[in-house]
Amino acid sequence: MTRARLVLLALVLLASRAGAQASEFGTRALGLPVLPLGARAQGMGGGIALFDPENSLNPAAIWITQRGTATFSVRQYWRTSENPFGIADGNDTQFPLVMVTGPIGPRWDFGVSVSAYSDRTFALALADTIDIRETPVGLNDTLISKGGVNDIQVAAAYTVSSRLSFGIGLHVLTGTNRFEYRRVFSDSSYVPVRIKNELSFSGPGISAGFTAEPIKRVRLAGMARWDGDLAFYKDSTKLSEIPMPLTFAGGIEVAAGDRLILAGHGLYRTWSAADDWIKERGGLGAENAAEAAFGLEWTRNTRKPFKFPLRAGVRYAQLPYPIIAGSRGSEVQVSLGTGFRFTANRGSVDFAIERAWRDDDAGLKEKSFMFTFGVGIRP
Amino acid sequence: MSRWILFLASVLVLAGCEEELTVPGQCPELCPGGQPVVLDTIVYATEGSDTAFFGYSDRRSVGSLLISDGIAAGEARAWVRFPRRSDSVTVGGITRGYTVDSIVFAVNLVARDTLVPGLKLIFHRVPLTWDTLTAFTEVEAALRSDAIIDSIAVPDTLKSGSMRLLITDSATIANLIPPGDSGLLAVGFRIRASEPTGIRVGSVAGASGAASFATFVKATDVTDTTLQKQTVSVTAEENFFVRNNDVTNPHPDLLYIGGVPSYRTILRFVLPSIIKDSSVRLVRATLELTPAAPLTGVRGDRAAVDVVGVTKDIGAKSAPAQSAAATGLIPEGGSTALFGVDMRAVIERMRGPNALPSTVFIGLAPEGGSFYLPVFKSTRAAEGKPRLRLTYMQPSVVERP
Repeated sequence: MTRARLVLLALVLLASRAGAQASEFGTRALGLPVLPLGARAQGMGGGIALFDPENSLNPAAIWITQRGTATFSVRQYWRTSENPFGIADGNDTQFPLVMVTGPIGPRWDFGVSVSAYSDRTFALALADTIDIRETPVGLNDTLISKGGVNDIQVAAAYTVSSRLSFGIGLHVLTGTNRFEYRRVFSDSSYVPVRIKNELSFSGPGISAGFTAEPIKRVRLAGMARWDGDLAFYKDSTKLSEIPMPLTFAGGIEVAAGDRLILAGHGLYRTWSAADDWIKERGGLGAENAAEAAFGLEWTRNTRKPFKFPLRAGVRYAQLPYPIIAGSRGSEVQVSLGTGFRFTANRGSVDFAIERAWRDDDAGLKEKSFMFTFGVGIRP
Repeated sequence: MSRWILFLASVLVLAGCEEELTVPGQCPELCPGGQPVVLDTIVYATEGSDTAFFGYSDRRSVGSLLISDGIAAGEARAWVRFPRRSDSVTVGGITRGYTVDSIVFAVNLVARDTLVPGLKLIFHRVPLTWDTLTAFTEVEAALRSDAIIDSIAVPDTLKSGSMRLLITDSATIANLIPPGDSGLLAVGFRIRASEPTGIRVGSVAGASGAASFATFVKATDVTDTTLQKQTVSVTAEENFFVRNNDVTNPHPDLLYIGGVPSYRTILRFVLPSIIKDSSVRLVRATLELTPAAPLTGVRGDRAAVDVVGVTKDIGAKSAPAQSAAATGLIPEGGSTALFGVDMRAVIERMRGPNALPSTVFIGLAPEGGSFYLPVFKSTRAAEGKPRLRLTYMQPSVVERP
């Protein structure tokens, strides 16, 4: 089997499971927003996301791709979730990003990526008692939701000069959200029930971005993204279209000497575009959300810059969907990372460990520990 | 490099196989679509469409014979007729006469009230002319004390199995089959016990085995003692039981099941459209019947009401549908309370594609061999009409954001 076929196989396998970050904060609307970050960017808290060509956030970032590159990352996720009804530990695995990039001409680079856009994976265990036939009957319910919205991007970047590039990305948002409701009655006269439903989504999007180096060692980047209304199907029947947010982001990267890179970005999404739509359907609405990320990478050996650099970062983000009426959630994340390249830089492995805290005004809390493992192949 | 990629791809795929997602929660706070709602609806049988028909299980196919004494479920007596007992035996290829040493009757006990001690099964010699049309009064009159052959004191510990009567008395043996009866014998049974009770014994058509008797004889003119002793055995060829409360003149406004020939009742319903909605989950469906008289039987000998769907509703001869049956055990103690049979499996067959008609037959199990003679109120009654109680669950609104 050729390397190209192996890469293709990995893309197909991983793209089918792009999203799975279970969270009690992902129960509403489209779930928990996910940024398309590779392992290197994760290690820097996401601060370098607008500049790193191994991330699909900014289509212009792929301009410095000098050879074909395939990257994919996997993230193992351990969490402790707490809410007014109890505490539970859990774990799951996420494939946040699969990406292939490469040059297609002297000034053009091309990229294809599959990433998680939002994740609505969660499972709730509920206990209740209701009156049936004039008699109290105990219920044990489990509501399981898996899936979310994935983002397939085809991007092209044009290099104007060694200091300026522009990029454009065409997006298809797609994905499914599978629900399963299980109910067991305390009275065995009532049969246990399992109800399955599937929601699916599809919608277009377009993004544009740039990177520039106006001052030596200082780079700027920006991107904007428009997503069209997301068609929304239940069991193959189209129900509606969800207004999607505009996304704006800007970032700065500073090379502080030969060893240290500092990078950060701010990002804003107008999730409230769907506020009325959600409320009209009995939901709790949506609010615009901002996030900021900052990270650094310290090169230990300037002659071998890819050999175990030290990375660190911090990220703060507001969550768009209130889980309980009147509440607003947010998350804070700190991370550490490193990596290395091998076989004459043809292969790379990056690691990141992250600690995240999510909470809201209604008493929901979540602490998670994540380990991200990324692999890059440059045939 | 290829090995590296294959290894890493395998690790990644395998790593995704395990997950633990569940957290505690409560609705509606954490459930965007809310909880599925459980609802209950009552559907009465279609007015005037419920009817009892009889003749499903005839007198020759009773699964067991009923014998009782003084119980509320009615008086029952049973009899059996044996085929002709040979008046000779063959020893060494030569037909010879014999003299009778002893006789053993065997009757299989199928069910009894194990809390009633001192059970005695009394054998009577009865006319050979009886058949399945012989009335209770005639049988009762024939089971006189002067017709008694002998009796078995059934051990209190015997719950079921063979009861044996050994007769060695020469006078009883001599009078058992008079010469004029050509070797034929009919035996009638009644019981006595320390308190009113009833039993069921094996029948010709039943699985437990019919009554039999063995005659132990000595062949005449045979000197070899090992060949001299022979056995002549016969098993009952006909039997029946009679009871004093057979339904002979059924009321048109009541619904009967059981008896011999057995009754079954047809019930028709119109299911509401919500029940036929495929998104709705039926969690319980109960057929509720109101007894028109106490449901009486023998303690410890249970019976059940069977509910069966039909492939096509053509009335009394509607064919039963496969996999559309339910059973409800009849409570003991002469209940007059509302009687329910959970029949979700039957109602499920009335939903979806290729749905069965919403018609059911109810019958008694065991049919034709139970002390129970349930009678229920019909749709013509002012109250207590047959009805379905359907409990169903509507799915949560998963599309609610």
